[in-house]
Amino acid sequence: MEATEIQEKVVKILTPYVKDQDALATVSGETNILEDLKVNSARLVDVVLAFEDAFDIEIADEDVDEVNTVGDCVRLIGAKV
Amino acid sequence: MIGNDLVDLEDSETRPEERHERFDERVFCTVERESIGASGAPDRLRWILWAAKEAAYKVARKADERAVFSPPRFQVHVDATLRGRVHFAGRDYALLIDEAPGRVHAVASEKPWESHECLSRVITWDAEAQLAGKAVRALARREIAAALDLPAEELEIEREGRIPVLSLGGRPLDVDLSLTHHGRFLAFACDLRDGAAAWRRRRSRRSSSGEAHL
Repeated sequence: MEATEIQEKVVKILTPYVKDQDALATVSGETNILEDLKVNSARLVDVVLAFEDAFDIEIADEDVDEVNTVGDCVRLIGAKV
Repeated sequence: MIGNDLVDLEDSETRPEERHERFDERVFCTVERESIGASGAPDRLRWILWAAKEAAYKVARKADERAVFSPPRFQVHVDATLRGRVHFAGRDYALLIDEAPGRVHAVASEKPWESHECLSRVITWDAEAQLAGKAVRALARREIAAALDLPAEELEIEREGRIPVLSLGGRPLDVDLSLTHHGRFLAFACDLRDGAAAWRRRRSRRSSSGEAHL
């Protein structure tokens, strides 16, 4: 799966959890999920579970800890699909 | 070191239907899941346990930046008085839950509460969510300045990574601080003991040298 396709799916999955919807208009690989999109840390658990379902992968807590940006998500998922 | 976390129990995010069906399995250990299942108020207990884990993680991360937030490994033991501990990586973190209608606030510490001069506040916040981060820093500055009798305008909170760091007049102030906000609430917790002593020494030196400013 291409990185651009993964990013599109990542952003689509993130969208309902984003508190700053304006930030979605300029989302990029550098966009920070907690700081820029204001996704709550508890909702990040739901996001990770949704990634697992959508891409049919398993994501360890150690991997989640390394994820800060949309680009980090794309790279993590890209390495697992 | 201190960490805190806050959950607005009436925020739409905390509704049961908003949770992924595997949320509990991912976040809680077996004993915690059994406690939630047996509770008369499962959502309340769920978010108490979550806040406790987050608060303890903030402490663990300050002590060791390699600490990973793996929620089931932060095992929460809380009694009916809402005091308890969080066990993680062979250590126990002291835990206090401050509960009020509509919200829970957890404060965790690496040391027993008796060895702290802990100051914490929770306030309601009904303005723009985007400004909550700024507002919680202002709350902490105001309350800490009042507690230590120092000029609030010279207190600054910056961040090293995701950890808030307090300074006074450009110099670090030894007050361990944790900030959080969720939904309609903001909260901070700090340990004033070391910072209070350092500030008194600094003020004493300033007075004896006749300095007008820090």
